[in-house]
Amino acid sequence: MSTLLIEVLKIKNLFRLVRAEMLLVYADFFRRKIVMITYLAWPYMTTTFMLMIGYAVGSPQAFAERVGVEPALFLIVGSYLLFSSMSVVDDIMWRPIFDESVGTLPYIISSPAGVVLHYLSIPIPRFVLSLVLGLTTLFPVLVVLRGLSGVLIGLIVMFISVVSVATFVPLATALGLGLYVAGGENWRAINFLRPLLLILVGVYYPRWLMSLPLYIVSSLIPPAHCVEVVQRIVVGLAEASTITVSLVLALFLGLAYSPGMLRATRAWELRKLREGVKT
Amino acid sequence: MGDVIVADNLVKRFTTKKRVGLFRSYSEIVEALRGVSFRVRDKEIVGLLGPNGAGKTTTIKILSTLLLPDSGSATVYGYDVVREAQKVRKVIGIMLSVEKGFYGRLTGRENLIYFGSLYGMEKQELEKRVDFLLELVGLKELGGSDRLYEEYSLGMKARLALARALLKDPPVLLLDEPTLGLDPPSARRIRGLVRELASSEGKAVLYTSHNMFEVELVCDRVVLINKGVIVADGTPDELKSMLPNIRTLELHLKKVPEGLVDEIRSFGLEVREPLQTPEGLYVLKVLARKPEEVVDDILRAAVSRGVDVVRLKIEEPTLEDVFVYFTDRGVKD
Repeated sequence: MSTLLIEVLKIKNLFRLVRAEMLLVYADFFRRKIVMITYLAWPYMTTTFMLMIGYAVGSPQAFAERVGVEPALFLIVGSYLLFSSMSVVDDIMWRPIFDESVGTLPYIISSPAGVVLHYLSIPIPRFVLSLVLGLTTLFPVLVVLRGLSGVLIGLIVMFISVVSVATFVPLATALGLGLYVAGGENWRAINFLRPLLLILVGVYYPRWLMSLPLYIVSSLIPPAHCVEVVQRIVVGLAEASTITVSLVLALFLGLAYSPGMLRATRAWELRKLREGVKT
Repeated sequence: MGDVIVADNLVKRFTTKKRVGLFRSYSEIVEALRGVSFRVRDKEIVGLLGPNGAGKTTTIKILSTLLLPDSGSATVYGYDVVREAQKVRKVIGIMLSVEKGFYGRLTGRENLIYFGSLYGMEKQELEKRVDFLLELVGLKELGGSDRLYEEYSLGMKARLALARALLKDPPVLLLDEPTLGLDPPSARRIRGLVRELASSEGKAVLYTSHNMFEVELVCDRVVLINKGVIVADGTPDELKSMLPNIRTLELHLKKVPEGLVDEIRSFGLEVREPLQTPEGLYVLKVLARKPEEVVDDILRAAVSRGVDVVRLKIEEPTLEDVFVYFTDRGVKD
């Protein structure tokens, strides 16, 4: 834990790395128009798809009765939260594989910045993008469905998404790099983890409706608490005490997973150094 | 500073899995380095030469803190590559691959800025340095500074890779086959730059290559590695003098009469099998330490058999001869 604190305190170095990562992420985002369009359209596409399935097998009234809110609102908020968290997780988990394939990994590992600090800087640019995504996704829908109060809800959701992502990074890094240490880098590992987290975070299925075992497991995932808070706000079930407890829990879990993140990062680096970083 | 790079008895083994069918596999230990020791002095360019799989890249990786040795030690600029890896990283510039190692969606300039940030360089200093280096390696004149890396030719990629190695202006350069696959002008540019960096800026350079001509041109000293062991170490001239028959007497004959080759061999000389040229001449190569001392005897033997010697020349040994001699000997050993 103290080592992590030391790493974070190298704040100047972190800013430098974040600036570099921003260059990399935004070049890809703005230079490949298809990436930009897909990114901005993704929450809408997912929501539309889910609604189509929902309308085919059930009715919006049944959903509203059971969950307590109209499906379009619930799903667009869920999609946004999912996308902001998942894109960050993907970035963390994908980078070792990507850097190895394009041959940049040796230069990253042999840079004096250190792997831990580098991994802390990776999700930040993507996360800033997800805030932009909030403006294009949340606000238009919330304003249409809830009027001016939608703006306030949108701001709250975006703030909570910040907490969600920040608290998710340690667990995602620990899980991702831990998996790579155990079984080697494989993009299939991401495909294995992503849907699992998707279900457990409770984005498309409110946590308060989950069975007890699933609820307990999902409680161990920091963004699950943030997602629950957002869902309660949207549904109108939120109380100040519930919100506070959930956010504190998410922050506590985020901190609790930090040593694991540090250990997994170091173990991954050590493994790379033992087997030789591929050039 | 005397010795900038010191490798002392480096040993590295890799465990590889041999697959038998779909489900069975067994482990096999490959000894990549079996006690490698050598030194690189200040302002010196040392060529690390060896056939594929000899251990060149493994050595470079250990020195650049990208691989942990199983035993032995190495220091770069006085810092231990295992215990003081972070310090080593600050004093080395590495070039490990010509054709990759950058982000395709970034321009050459952006890629250098990205890696400069990783190396902890301040923004203003970094931008100046990047501009200087793009000019130095010739990417500016090729219009590569603001072109996406994925649109680069191989020569441009190599230049950018060298520029990255020089970002921190490090005193030590570790270059792994920096001209592999390059066209002659690009290769010449890289070679020229490396020489200039060593002579004018005093950088110590460890340079691996398969290209003997290039190594002879660029390197002050050559370390030959084969099967994870150093088999020779010296200047190109010193290495050539280690060959038992170091020079070649080449005779172009209209025919090779019976008994001529045997008679030349009876002088204690090594004679290669004659080859026929497109013009119908036969080329007979005789290896000798001092060919000028035996040339009269050889000519007499030829003339006595009624052969016209059309051309005669003495060839100095090349580094390639040295390479073949030592690596072949390694195989026989």
